[in-house]
Amino acid sequence: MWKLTFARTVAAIPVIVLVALVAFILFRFVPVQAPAAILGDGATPEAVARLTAEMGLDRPAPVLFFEWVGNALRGDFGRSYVTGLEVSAEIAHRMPITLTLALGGIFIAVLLGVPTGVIAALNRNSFIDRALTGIVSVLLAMPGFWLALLLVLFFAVQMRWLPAAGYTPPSAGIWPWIRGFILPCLALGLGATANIARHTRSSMLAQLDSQYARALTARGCPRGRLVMRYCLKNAMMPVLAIIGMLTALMLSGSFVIEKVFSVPGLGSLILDSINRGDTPVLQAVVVVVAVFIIAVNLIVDIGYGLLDPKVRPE
Amino acid sequence: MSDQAANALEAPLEAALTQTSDRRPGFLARLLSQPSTVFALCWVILLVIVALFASYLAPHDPNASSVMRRLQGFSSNNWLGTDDLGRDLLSRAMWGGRVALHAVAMAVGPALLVGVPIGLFVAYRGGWWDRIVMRLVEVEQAIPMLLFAFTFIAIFGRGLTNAMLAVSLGFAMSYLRLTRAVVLAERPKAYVQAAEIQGYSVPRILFRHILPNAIGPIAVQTSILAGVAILLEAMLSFLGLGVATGSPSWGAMLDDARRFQIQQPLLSLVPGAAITITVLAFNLLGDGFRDAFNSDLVISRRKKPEPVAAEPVVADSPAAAEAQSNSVLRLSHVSVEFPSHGGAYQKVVSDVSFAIAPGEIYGLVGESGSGKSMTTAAILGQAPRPGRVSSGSILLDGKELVGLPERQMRAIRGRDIGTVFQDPMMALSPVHKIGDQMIEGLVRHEGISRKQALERAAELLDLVGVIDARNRLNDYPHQFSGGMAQRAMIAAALICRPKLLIADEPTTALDVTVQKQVLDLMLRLRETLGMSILFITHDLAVVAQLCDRVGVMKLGELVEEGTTSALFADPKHAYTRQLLHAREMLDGPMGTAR
Repeated sequence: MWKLTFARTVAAIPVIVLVALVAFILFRFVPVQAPAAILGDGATPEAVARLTAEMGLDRPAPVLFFEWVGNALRGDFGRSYVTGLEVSAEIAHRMPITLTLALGGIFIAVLLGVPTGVIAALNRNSFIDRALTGIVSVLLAMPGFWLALLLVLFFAVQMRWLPAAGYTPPSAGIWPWIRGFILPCLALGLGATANIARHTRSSMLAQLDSQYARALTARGCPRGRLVMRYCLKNAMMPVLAIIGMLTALMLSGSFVIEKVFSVPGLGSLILDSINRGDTPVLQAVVVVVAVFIIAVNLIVDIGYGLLDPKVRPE
Repeated sequence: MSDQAANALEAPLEAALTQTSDRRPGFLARLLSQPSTVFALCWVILLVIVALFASYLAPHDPNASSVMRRLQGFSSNNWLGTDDLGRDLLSRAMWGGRVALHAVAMAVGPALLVGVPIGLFVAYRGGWWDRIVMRLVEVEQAIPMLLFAFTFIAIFGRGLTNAMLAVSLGFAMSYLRLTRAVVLAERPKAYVQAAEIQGYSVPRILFRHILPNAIGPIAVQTSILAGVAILLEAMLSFLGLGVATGSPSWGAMLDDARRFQIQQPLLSLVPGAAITITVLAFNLLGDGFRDAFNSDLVISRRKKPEPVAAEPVVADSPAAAEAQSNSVLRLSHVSVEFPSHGGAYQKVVSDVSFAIAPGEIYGLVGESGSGKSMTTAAILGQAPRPGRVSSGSILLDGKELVGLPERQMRAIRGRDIGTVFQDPMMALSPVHKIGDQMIEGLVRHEGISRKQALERAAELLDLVGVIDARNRLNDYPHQFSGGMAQRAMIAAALICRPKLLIADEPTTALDVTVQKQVLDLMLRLRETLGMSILFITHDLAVVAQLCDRVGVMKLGELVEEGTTSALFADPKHAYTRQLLHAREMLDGPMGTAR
């Protein structure tokens, strides 16, 4: 098990380095480079050149890249051109909010999606199955931020059960904090719910029709036990990969949902940085998000090892 | 070799890439026979028309604002209401359709032109080309599409074109991977190798020979990506990174709705529904393409049984008489029906009667589709729905099984009837331990503890010749060889000491040497445990070696029955003679029965 974890972790490192390299190269193309951005529109070329030299940006690109990577490894992504704040502090401040949103979303998606898929599969071609499949198809096509608007209209404006927008820090109390996350997580998670339900259903159907299901039934295994103990575990194998993929998607999805609910996560940081041409922030966010996604894939791979005896080393 | 001959060599596609380059005239008909696809097609066509002719069709100028009429609900002048600047929502939604389709074209077009050729090339070339490109694809996939678009926009500036070019780059990776997978699946096939031997140029082989096979998957993918493109355009415009401020886009309209929906809750309805229905339509279209390309999925209808008037020729032997009077299993006039077109029922097993005496091995022979496996399913109460036992009686030790409630049937399965299936690897869940799967019925039937049950399982594994039985209970199926797994399945079937063992082609999936071992094992077990065996097979050599009596099935009917020696020496029914003759043609004269 440790061997597998170690091998997969090592295999992820070159991908992370490549992502960092791609991000670094891409942002070299930004038309307005840092010194010009800092000095503003009226700056003379001499002033820009002086600042460039002062910041050490006139050194060769490979030097700059290794310096950036070296600093990043120590958690130092430099300072924002605009606010002058440390980028890592800014990200550390906002990342937990986005992560809570993303993990809350995937939690809801698994919680609702797996049972929905299983129920649809067990009632195949019945009215229940058709109704669930229909709802799933619509949810899959629905943009999450429209769903968010509808949820706000109903639960916040109409019923006044939950706050319509804003973020309450956990220091203000656990319940107010959770209340603030319910609608955003739902808006983010329902699309993923549909995705998981759809894959669970088809995977479960294949398991219910399998030879081993028939063999276990022929040996006297009751249907409930067959479904819950044998088919579900087998059916979850391919769904696990989907859950990993969706967790990664939750991050970028939350950037949009954050806008609807005015949640101060990574999303608004990115949008502000794009508007201000704040390269260090963008560069850092790309790398941090990519590392998170690679980590999720790693966890999924290791999860497979736990579930599938064929992958699990002796 | 001509192209035609090369195409003739084309083997049927298997597995994941079953979408074949099927251009039989039936394709369109198949597509249009699906109501959801027809709906999707109609919506997309309607959208294209509206987008093309928005300037003529839209009732108002989409940008004409009117402070007097802001945030109106549905009205006769503005059917779908107005936004915060009093602009007509219907007109804006129509122009928004144009933006959406424009976005689809910009995202999908370049991606197709770049991704498909590169995918063809790297998969065909392999080696370093393939490795380098696939590493880049991996990197791209570690960055979510939306974040990638953000980066792109940060560098090249905002606007629909830049946003969609970024998306297009992501789509190109998706096409690349898909095309690569198709090429890797097609490359070893005979028609490609034939073309290579002919010395055709690489581009010719790739585009003329291999690419047609990728068209099905690419069409499915394109439809789905079109929906993704619309969602991404809407997201980016919603965030203010897509279309220019004030331009009619569904995403931008939703941003307006976000700000003013407390005053006018209907605002988000039009753009939201437009996006949802359009994405749904593209998804349904993709499903429709997939189903229509998958011509393999067309279920072949079982041939209608020819009316065979002959009564079963029952051999008048003492063994048969004994079986009649004192049988473990007795089927009388059993029929199994399936609903066919038009609500009528079609018999797949028709009026089958036979009986098995204690300790007897009864062979049920016939070609595939003759109804022999359906007969066993009927005995176990497992006739696959919507099939059902429509008439007749199945007595197990004098107890009627037809119509028995599921709960009582479950108590019989595994306890009174043990079953062994064709492929032991398929009959085992790959992620559960062998021991746990063996005792699943035993624990319930006898109410003993898991520990005691595992004890018994170890004894039986030992009995069927699995070495180190106790430790192997903790193994997973992939740690067993096929022959060993089948031994374990036989042990599992016998774990409750059933009166009857049903063996459904238990040796077909095994190597020839292993087949013999398994048959010997079954004979030995019959001697030690004394159960009866119903042995289903299409292999007459196995019957000759193993069975006391034989029944021959054809098209759902039992056409002949008798002791193995009598039947082989003097087949009465024409079909049995054919069967024996075919066997002799293949293997030389059949050895006489035991």
